Amino acid sequence: MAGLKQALQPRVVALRCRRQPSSFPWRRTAEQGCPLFRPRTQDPSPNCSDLTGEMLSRATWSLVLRRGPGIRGTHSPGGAAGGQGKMPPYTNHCAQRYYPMPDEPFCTDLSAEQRVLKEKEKGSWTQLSHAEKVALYRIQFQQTFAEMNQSSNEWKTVTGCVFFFMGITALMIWWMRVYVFPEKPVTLTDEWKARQLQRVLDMKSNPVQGLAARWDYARREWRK
Amino acid sequence: MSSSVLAKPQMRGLLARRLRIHIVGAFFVSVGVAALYKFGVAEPRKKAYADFYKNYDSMKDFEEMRKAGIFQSAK
Repeated sequence: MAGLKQALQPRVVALRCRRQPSSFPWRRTAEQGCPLFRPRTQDPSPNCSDLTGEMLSRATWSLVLRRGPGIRGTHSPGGAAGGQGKMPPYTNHCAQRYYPMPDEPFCTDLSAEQRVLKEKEKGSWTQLSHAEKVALYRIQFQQTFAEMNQSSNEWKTVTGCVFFFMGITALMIWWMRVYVFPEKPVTLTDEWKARQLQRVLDMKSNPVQGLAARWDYARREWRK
Repeated sequence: MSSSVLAKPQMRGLLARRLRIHIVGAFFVSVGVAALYKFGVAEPRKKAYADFYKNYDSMKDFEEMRKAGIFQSAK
């Protein structure tokens, strides 16, 4: 209980400094969730394939969204009114490992009982029950640290696609070898290469540790 | 969440401890790599050259090369 309070305390102080935007179409309640993410009220499942979908949708969002950081201009983290006028993914309620204290709370449009809870939060925190503290946490943050730091199975998709396209490239090069490449130059034919090797051995190149050292001149064969 | 109190983690001296461990480790790793190279590569190479030149007859070597026909100035 004491550990929970210490963990929550600095974050709630940050919340009190910020005013709540109330008239934006992308405001979130705890039930609706973020347009991209669902709030996880149940235990994080070991199957992380739905996170892969979220990551892909986040990637497509950033591809689709060609406009700049928003009305406010430069995308600067921090600041009391930083999240206004921005579309996802530039809103700052989602925490990352490298940015664990997001600028904005997760839920900005509170229901009546959530507002009551927020009023109760202004009092002494020893009055809050465990369930209320968890509810306050879920209002402020989308995910716990454990959920945020979950690894995904994305690497399997990535390596699979990399090998797949390597295979396609190999097939294309094979086709080219059969139908496109010209004849080998004379210096690459086997007969020329054998005469070239014989000349190199006659010159005794690298006789201490290199090529001529491996050739047995008495028996005229490679050393075992 | 349990109601037991966790042990207070190490708060100070983290960088100093990390540096100490890694400086000692880096010293031993580099000395080890140097020793491995010396006794795996450098000493055998010196021995190979010494053995090669111990009974080396340069004129005999030259005659063999000349008979093989690689020279332009000495046929």
